[in-house]
Amino acid sequence: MQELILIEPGSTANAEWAREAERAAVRAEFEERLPDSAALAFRVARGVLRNDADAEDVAQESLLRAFHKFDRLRERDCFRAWLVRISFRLALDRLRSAKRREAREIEWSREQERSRPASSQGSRELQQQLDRAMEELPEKLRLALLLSAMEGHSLEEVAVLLSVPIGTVKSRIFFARKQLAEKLRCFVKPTINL
Amino acid sequence: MFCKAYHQSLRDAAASGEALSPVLRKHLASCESCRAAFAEEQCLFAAIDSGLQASANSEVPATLIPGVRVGIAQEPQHRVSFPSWAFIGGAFATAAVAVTLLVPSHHPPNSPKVTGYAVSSTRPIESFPVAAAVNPPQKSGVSVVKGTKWATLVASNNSTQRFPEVIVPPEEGVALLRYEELLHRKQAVVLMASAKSLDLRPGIEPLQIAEIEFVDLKIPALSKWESEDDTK
Repeated sequence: MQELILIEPGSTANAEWAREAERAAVRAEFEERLPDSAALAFRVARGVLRNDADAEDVAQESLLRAFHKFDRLRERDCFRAWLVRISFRLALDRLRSAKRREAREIEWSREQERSRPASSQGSRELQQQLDRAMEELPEKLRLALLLSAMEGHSLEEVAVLLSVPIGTVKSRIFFARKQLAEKLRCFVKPTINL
Repeated sequence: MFCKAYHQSLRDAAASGEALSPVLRKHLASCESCRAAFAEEQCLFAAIDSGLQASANSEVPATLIPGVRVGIAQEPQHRVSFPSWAFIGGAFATAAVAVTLLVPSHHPPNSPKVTGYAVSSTRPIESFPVAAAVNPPQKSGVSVVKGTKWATLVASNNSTQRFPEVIVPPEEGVALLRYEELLHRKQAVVLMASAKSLDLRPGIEPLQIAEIEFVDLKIPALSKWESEDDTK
């Protein structure tokens, strides 16, 4: 595929070539990060939206936004944290659309019934209640709990992703779990008898 | 049910998922009710954790990364970055337009909606242009810009116009029109006088007038006629 380069009037060809090479390097670096960061963006979005299709849209949008501003990101180590924030914010924006939310919940319940035919009614109900309870959590607590529940994320990594001290992460997760437990207590039957 | 003294601490311990303190461990070992309640609490948190993990670690759709790559590829290869002076210039231009629109016009109520005058005094004037002044008459030296507000720019589509136009306030514009008319009248008088003095007619020969001959008037005598009448 032939690439055409638009040369701005007034700038020298050498400077333009250098800029073009810099852009190509930035793009290559972004694409290198893409597989890992795409999963992160998708899971964050899905944790908020509870719908694969919407989460994919949001993840895609987040990644494209991140790409547009990637060259302006000075600290490349913060890329994942930055992407988490973008994805989480976009997912929340989408979630706040009432009509989509209703449709999504209907679709979600149908999807769950299709995808989990063997699971018991109780666990399905618990999952739905858990999703609702998660939605009612404050944003900061929700994101901390969501990131900590993702595979491969230690508390230190969650702290880096949220740009907060590890003690803050611990306390957010603790309060989030307590709030969830209060809401879900009646849905969990005791299975252990001592 | 937890014992009252250990209720909060045991619940917190279950929520944090951390190791129990020696005091709590000792109490659980001795209290069956608290042990059962603590097991229930752990079961609840295990259910929450498993639900969270199922939700948080869902499989990434295979179409996501190709979709992003397509999106990146569809972006323009080169986004033209305007230099800062362009933004500054644009801001100044916007501010100038805004100020021009906000400045109230100071026309008398009966004055026409002619607000700006573009004057180029070096061009010859054919007639006083105010009467026929509709955006800008290019043959005249004075262009009257018609509009409800001050004109900030006279856009001349006439590529043959070689003289710069000057924007002046409406009050000064009338005076300038008069001045230009006087100037051109004066120029016309001077031109006529100089043409007379120079006698610039080399191709025309002077009119040749033949000399006039004066001949004596011959008057016939009237006496003959008078004698014939007398005989009758």
